[in-house]
Amino acid sequence: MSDAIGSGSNTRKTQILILDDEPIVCKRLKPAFQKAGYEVETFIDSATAMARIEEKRFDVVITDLKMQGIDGMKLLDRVKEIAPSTGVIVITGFATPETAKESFHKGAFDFVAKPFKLSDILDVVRKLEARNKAGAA
Amino acid sequence: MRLPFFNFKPKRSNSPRELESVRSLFLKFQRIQKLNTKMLELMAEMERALGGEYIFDRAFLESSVRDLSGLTYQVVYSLNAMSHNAYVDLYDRFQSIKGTLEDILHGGLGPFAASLALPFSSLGWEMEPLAGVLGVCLSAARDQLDILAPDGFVITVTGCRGFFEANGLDEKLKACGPSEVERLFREAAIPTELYEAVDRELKALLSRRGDSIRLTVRACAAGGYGAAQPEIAGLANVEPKGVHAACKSALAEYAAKAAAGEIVEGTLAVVAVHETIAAHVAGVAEVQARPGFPMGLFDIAAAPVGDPEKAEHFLLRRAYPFDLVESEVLPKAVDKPLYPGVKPLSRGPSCLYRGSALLGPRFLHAIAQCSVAFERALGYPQDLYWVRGDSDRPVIVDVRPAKLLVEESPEEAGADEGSSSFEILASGGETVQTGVSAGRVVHATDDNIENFPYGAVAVSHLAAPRFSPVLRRASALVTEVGTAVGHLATIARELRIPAIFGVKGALEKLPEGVEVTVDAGERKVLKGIAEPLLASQPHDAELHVGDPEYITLRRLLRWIMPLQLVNADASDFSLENCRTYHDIIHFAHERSVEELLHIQDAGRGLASLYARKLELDAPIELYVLDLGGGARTAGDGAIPLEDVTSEPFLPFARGLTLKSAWSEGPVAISIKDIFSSIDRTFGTTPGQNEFAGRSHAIIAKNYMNVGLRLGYHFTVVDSYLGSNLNQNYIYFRFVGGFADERRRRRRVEFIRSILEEMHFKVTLTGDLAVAKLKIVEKEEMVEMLTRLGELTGFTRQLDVSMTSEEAIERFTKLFRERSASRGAHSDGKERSRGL
Repeated sequence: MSDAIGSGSNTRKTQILILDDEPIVCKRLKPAFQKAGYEVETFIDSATAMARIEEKRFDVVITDLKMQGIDGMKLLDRVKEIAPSTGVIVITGFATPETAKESFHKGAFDFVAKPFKLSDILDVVRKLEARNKAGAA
Repeated sequence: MRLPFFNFKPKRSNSPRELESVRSLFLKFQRIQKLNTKMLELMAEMERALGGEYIFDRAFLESSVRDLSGLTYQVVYSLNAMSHNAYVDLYDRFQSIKGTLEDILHGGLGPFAASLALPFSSLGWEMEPLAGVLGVCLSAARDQLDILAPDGFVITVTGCRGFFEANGLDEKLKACGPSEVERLFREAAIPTELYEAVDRELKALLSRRGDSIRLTVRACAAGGYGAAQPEIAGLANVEPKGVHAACKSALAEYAAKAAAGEIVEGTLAVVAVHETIAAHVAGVAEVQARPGFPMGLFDIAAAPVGDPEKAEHFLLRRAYPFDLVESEVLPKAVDKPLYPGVKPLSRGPSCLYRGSALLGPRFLHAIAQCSVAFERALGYPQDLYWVRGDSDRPVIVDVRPAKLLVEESPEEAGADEGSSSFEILASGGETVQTGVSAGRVVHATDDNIENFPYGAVAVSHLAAPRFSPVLRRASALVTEVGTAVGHLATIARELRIPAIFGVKGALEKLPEGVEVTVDAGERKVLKGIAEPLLASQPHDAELHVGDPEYITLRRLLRWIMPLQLVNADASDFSLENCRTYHDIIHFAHERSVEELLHIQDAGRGLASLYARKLELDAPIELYVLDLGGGARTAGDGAIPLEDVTSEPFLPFARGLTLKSAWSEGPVAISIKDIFSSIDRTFGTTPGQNEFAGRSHAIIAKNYMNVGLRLGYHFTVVDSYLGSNLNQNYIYFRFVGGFADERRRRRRVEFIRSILEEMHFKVTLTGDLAVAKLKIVEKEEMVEMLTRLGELTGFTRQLDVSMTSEEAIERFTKLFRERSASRGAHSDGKERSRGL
């Protein structure tokens, strides 16, 4: 799927769901990923994001950890239940070795501490795509 | 300040606890150094977040403030522990700044919240919620963007609220009809405190601009940078004595519009009062969507003042070089002046007739450049209201978010596809401030710092602080050397100038005159003007000036980053003047160094018990007290020089052993004679203890404090040398001598001339020379310490030889030649230090 990036080809674009209850994170990540050639949906409310996951299959889910209501760990659990091949990237401002370990244990692809560079998160998504591509080959 | 060795009372100690107390003092000093480093790293991270490269959230702001506050507290605690609580009041300063930061995090307006009126010069971008967009923009134009704008002041949200509340205007407005609003405000009384605040700012403005000026008074909404501002006709040409009444009238108009629903409910008002610019032509530069032009066009309307019917229009491209696409010029009589001194048949600089258009190409370009500068600073296109006065540059009188841009998603804009056809001239380095800008390349040099062409892309070798003025005019900055942490990087972020530092070979790859587009976020410089890329900016993932997190971060940094206490020798270098966390840690650093200078007071007694003689190939008896990591060998015996591991002490001791210092002494007496006289002089001094003739060095891995007595003069060299250049320093003190006062003075003059050549900051008081060198790279520190060692040997009893004023120059030359002969000269090196 990464072959669609920036190439303008007609192949299906990588679908990304971003969930962060801080609007500024969604506001900035969305155009950055769109500019890089991805199709992006953003959510600041975890319940709505969860509902969307139930109805649409995403290639990548980028989620904050600490949120009101359904937190990132629960969302990670659910994504892995219904779509094991979906890569989940956890982003958090409260990174601890414990939460990182738990995320990986639950099947997260990567764990990124905030603040992070735009280029860093783009790199993580590209790595995830490369892994999926290698797995599919 | 006490001087080591001036206390001649015998100070013997047999208690190992005293050794521990010296160690403890040094450990606290080291702790301050480490805390300082950690804080600077955290502060740099916060500042870099401002540059747009990082994604961060509120939690980051909260945790950063929490961490910084914790570290600052520890710095204050450690300094007090070092100094027997000599700086207890620093806790109050810390608490005050911490309170301010917490208030900002909780949405408060900060310490200026109580201000009723503030001059434009005191406003920053982060003060918009208190002062409104207009005042902040006019202030930025004058102080940051090198754009002409009127001087003035604002009546803040607090001032205006006070006026409304004192008169119960909110309630009365609900009860009265639109026709009664003006009367209601006219009859309302301005609270005394507000009246006096306005009076104070008005007087200050008149004293700056002259009593004869007329004023413009405008009420505006403090509604955020992106919010649409209602068209509020201000009152122009108001006499100074009528300002108070004009403020009420402007607020009445604002209230009427609010009542009519033209202003978002609950939006607070501010009043801007500024000089009315005498103008011949006025107009607005708007952004207009136009098919075929991805960025849209500038529509610059211009009309003679007082005759808006005769407006002319000029359509310019929005990308450099702002080509004129279309114009609509009205016919005029050739013999009538367009405005004083200018007729259609006036000849221009190229001897061509000027033409009948109200504005010429240069003036149009100047307006376009102002518009681009505001767009860059605010993050999205702006409509500029300008006037043409006597100057040949536009004066900006209002700035409003552009309304007419067609919203388009980045996918539709196809920015990437559009820019991929442009050749990449240079890439790499480190993003300092994200953003895209285009322009003609001009190499920034010492010769064009002050007259750098407006709107050009600056390319330089170094990210040197002296290039700061260039950033007020450049549209982007690319340097070959430099990192995202540093003074110039701070300025680039403050002005939101797209900047990439560390692009190898940039000067060669980007020759002067070439038109380029700098995409700082992508760390690329493209050949040509990449309009699709420039057009994509409003949709970019950038952090915008109006984003609440940006405003909060900027407001927090205002109380964290600026370093106002720069000069430790200045009279205002006091704890009362610590206004930011940076001030506190710098103050604590300087004072901790001072505390450490006294380490020899305690060390003298200890040296007799714990110091070990240094094996030095020089006629000097030097005893070393190692606090840890300063020497390889342990035990009671003498320490060979090669076993010294103290980073600052090793080069200094090596300098002491240089034959250039000792073997060809300028004094016409032998070394033996000198040192026999040293023993004699100290041995015969009443009250001297048996160790008085010795010199001591207290050392650690990265530290040394050396007290040298040579003859009747005393030298103290205190230095820290580590991997962080910001913490490196050398303090050098020299006092005393055998000869008469004149000769001693000549010797310190000689020392000054040498140390100034070495870029020390030197102050002389009688025969006391105090010199400081700070923020120095490790390599240079080593060289400087070596030369200091050499100088220390060279100057022994030099005062005796200082028989005339001419001797100062002679010995300076001699020392310089000897240093040069061992290849020690490092003149002409690029240095960056903050003395």
